[in-house]
Amino acid sequence: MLTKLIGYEMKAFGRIILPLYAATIGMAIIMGVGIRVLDEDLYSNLLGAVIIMIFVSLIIATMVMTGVLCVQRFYRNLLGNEGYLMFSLPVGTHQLILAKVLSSLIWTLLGGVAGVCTVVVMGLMAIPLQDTVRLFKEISMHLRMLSLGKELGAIAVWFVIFILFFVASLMQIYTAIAVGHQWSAHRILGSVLAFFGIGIVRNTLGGLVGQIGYRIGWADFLMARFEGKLFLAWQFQLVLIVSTLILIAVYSGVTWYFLDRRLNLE
Amino acid sequence: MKWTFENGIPIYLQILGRLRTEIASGAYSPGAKLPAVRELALEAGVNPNTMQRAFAELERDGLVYTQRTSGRFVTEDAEVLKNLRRTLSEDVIEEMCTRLMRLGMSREEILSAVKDWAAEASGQTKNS
Amino acid sequence: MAVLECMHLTKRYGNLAALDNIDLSLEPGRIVGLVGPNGSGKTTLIKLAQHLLTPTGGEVLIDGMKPGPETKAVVSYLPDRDFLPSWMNVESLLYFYEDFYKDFDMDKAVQMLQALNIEPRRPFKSLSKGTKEKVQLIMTMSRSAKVYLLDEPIAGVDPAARDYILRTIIGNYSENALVLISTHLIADVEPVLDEVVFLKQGHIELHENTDALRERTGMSVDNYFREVYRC
Repeated sequence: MLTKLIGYEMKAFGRIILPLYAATIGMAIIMGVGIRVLDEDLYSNLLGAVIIMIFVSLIIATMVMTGVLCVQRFYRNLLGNEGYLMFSLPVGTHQLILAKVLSSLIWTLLGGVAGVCTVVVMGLMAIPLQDTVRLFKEISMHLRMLSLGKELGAIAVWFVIFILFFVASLMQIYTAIAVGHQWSAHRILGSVLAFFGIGIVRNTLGGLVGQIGYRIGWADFLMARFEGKLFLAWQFQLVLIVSTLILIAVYSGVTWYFLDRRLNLE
Repeated sequence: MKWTFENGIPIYLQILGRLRTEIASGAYSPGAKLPAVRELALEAGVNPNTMQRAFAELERDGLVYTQRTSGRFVTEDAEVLKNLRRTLSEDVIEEMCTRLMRLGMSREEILSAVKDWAAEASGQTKNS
Repeated sequence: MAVLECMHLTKRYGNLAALDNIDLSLEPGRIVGLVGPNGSGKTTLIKLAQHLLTPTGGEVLIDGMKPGPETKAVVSYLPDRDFLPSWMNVESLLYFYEDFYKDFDMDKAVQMLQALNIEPRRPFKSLSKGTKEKVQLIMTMSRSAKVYLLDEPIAGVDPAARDYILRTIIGNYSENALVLISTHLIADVEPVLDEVVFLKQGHIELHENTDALRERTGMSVDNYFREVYRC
C-alpha cells in the first residue's frame, strides 16, 4: 500500500515538476548553444541576458515549486477536501504521512539530479566534443588527486545527515500543520504559530542538552575530535544523527497523534 | 407502466395489490416466469427487501411458486386463480357498493344500475 | 449482529453538541435513511463512522471494529462534497480505486460510466456538477462493501439524476450490506428505505421500519415528519 501511495504522489508531483525539469533542461541546451554561437555584439549580449534570466527563473521556480508541493501535498491532500478520499483508504495514518515524507525526499533528490543533468547538458552543448572528453579527464584527475576515496564513507555519512536534516525540517512543518489544524477557526495562523512554537521548544531543549553536555565535558571532547578533520569527526556525526533521529521520532509521533487520534476534517 | 405509491399504506402492500391484479388479469399469465426481485425492484424504484416481502406474500398465498434454480413462476392452478379473481372482485364490488350506498342508493337500485350499465357496455362493444 | 453500532456517541464543537449521546444499531441487508433537518448531525454521524472526526465521547463500531484501515476496507463512503483531486480524470480515478480497494469491480464501474457516455479522459474540472456526482456515486457503488455510507447523494441534482442515483444504489449494493443514506429530501428516497432514523439537534427522535411507520400513522414518512417535526 505504501508503494501505491508513493506512486500516486509521484504522479501528483510529476505533472507539475517534470515540465519544469524539461523546460530547464531545454533552456540549458539553448544556453549551451548560445555560448558557442553568440557573438560579442550588443544584440547577442541582450539575447544572452534574456536567456540567462529565463534559465535562472526556471531553476528558482523548480526549487520553489518542489518546496511548495512538499508542504501543499500534505496540507491540501490530507487536510483539505481530498482528505475525504485519502483518509477513507484502507491504509494506516502512518503510511499516509510516510508517503508524503518519502515522496518529498525523492523529489528533492531528483531535483539535485536534474540540476547536475542541466549542467552536464549545457556543458555538452557549449563545448566541442574533444574538449568535453578532455575536461572530464581533468575533472576525474583532480578528484583522484583529492584522494576522496578514503573520505567516501564520511561523505556518505554526511549525505545521510543531509537527508535526516531534510526529513526533520519537513516533519517540523507537518507537525505544525497537524497541530495548527486543531484550531479550526484559524488553521493557517495556527500552523504558523505552531511552527515557531515547535522551533522555540526545540531550541530551548537543544540549548539545555548543550549546557549539560558542556558541563560534563562532552563539548570539549567533541571539539577536540573536530579540529581540522571535517570528514573524520565521526563522533560529531554520530551526535548529529542521533539528535536528528530523536527529533524526527518526536515530530512523527506528534503528527501521527493529531492526524489519527485527533483528526477533525472540516 | 409507471409505479406510483400512495401515502400512508405500506409500500409492500401496494406492490402486492398490483402484482395480484396483474396475475388475476393475466398480464402475468399462468405458468409465466416473474422477473427477479432486484430487477422488479429497480423498475419500481423500491427497496429489494420490500419487493421480496411482496413476493413472499404471493408465495404464501400460493399465487406463485419457486423453482430452486430457475426462478419464480405464476401458478397454473386454475382453482387458485379463480379464487384470486373472486377475492379481488369482491373487494372492488364491496368498495363500489359502499360508495353507492353512501350516495343513498338501495341494493336493488345498485343491482339494476349495474345491469343497465352492463347492457349498455355490451351494446357499445357490439356497435364498435 | 449489527454491522454499525453507536454507543453513547457524542461529538461536541465547543459547547455545541452536534451529536449527543447517540445509541444506534443497524443490521446488514438494510437500506436505512438518515434523515433530519440541516445541522441535525447526519454528516457528523457518518464522518465519525469513517473516522474523519474524532468522537468527544462514546464510540462507533463497524462490523465490531473501531474505525481504522480494517473498517475502511469494507466501508464504501460517498462524502457530501467534491472530494476527488481536480487534476485526476475518470480513468486515473478508476485505477486509483482498483489499486486501493480489493472489493472494487472495475468492469462494473466501466460499464456504468459507458452507459452514461462519460469520456474517461476528461478531467473532473470540466464535468458538470450532476455528472461529477454520478461519477462519484458510480465509484462508491462499484465496490462490494459491507457498509455503504452515502452522505446526501441526491442533494442538488435534477429529478432525472435523482432517479438515476437511487436506481444505481438499489441496483448495485451487495445484498448483505448496510446502506446508510443521509438526506433531507425524505420524499425522494422513501420508497427505497427499509428503516428510517430521524435526527434532530443531535438526538435520535425516531428509528423505525418505514412500512410500519406508514401503517401506524396512515401517512407517508415524509408527511409524518413534516407534520410532527415541521421540517
